[in-house]
Amino acid sequence: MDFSKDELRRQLRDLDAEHREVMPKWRDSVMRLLVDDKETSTEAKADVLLGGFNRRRFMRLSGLAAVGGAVLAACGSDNKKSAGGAASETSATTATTAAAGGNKTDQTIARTAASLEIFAVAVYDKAIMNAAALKISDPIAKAAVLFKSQHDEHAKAFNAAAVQLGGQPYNEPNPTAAKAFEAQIAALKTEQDVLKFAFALEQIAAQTYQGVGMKLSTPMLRQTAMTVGGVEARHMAILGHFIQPPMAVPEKAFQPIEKAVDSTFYV
Amino acid sequence: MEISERELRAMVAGIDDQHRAAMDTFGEDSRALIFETGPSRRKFLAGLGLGSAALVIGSAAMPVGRLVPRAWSQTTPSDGDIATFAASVEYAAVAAYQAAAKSGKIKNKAILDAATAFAGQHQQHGDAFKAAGTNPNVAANKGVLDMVTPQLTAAKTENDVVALAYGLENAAAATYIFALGVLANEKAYNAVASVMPVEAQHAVALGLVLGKPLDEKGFLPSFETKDGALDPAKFPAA
Repeated sequence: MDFSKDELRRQLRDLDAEHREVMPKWRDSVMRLLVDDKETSTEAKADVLLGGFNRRRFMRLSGLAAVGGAVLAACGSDNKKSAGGAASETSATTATTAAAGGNKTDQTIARTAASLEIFAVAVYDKAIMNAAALKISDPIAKAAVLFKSQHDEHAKAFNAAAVQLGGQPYNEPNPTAAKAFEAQIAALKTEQDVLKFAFALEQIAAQTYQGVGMKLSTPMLRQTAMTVGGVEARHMAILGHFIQPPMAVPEKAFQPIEKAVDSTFYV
Repeated sequence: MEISERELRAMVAGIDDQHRAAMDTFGEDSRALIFETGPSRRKFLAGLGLGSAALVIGSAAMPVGRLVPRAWSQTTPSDGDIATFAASVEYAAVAAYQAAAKSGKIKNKAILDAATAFAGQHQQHGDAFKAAGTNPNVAANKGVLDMVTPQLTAAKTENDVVALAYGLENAAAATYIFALGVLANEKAYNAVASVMPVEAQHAVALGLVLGKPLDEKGFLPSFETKDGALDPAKFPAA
């Protein structure tokens, strides 16, 4: 081997820098088109992204896939499989995924959000499974079932976002939360205990999604987080209604973020 | 490694060429995607991004798109412009709650207390948005009041009034979800993101008064939506 490794690294670094500069814009555009735009037909969206195999589009897709692979390889990504396989893949999915892998913080927040949602699913599931012992009434049990299913939807959505952003899904309850709340969960004895704990959990989630907003790289991602954060706030209001004495929700004109989880909860 | 320096250089150059070919049109394509098919900042105010969604407050449903200065549809509004619009919506909510309280149609003291509390919170929201906005003299949104006032006058029962407020709160929450997709400034984000969950909770509290089942669409959705968002293009801030 007689080529200059330094020169190669420089070239790859230049490519990487250019890639990283444009990828947030690309990701935002794709998310706006695929998720947010209700006016354009599916066929038209497909045409924008795939558009038949004319040279320009083919070059765009295969170029992005190849560059994505090169960047991952150059960066020594943990995602060995993606790094190794990307160079030979030219599908639109690969192109989009590889292209979207620019922001590690976005990925981490999406994965962490998924893990918190899965933790909430586990908490509600435990309450539902132990409804008789905890003397949980039928209306509360029905609410718990609905909330659990919605948290499950949230987890799936955040994991889908993590993958779309070029990361890996996270399919376990948040380990830091599980450890931090283990004793409290074990101490739940009554319906009111469960309601108060669930309220606190929803409050943490609602404030977390608000609090991470400016850590996310695009308005579209902030909006996505808050479509879930708003629902957690609705959960709080319903739980507060059942708590005795009923809690005044919302208590303040502006939702604070003092109970949002910090980076020690990141996965 | 079983490739020569020349082969490697050729590969890197090829990748670079492909990358540059893709990037040559990237700006143009992104603009097309963002400004021609997505809910861009311009479209937020031009009313185009909301499609055929209808604003439903109480029994009135109107095509969204009657809330912002006409000039905004010709220019790209700032975060401050959006904050001013939000302030006008909040002040309209204050006026609506005050009118409801004075109407004598709310008999239940707990509901009256809630209406008073919610009006106070909307006042704080309006003041915060006004401070972040571009018009220090922003007033209650006339388009919203024009829609709400006749319905309030026509309301026969306490539940009719509560239903009107419920629709207004959900519309406000949807509006802020929409705004979050375009705001870039941290201050504007913090204001809107801290207000949106509060409006959603107002809606839940009012929905519980109305006896809404948890699984009713709009009462407890799996995800907050922009459906029914107040379109600044059709409800211009004064």
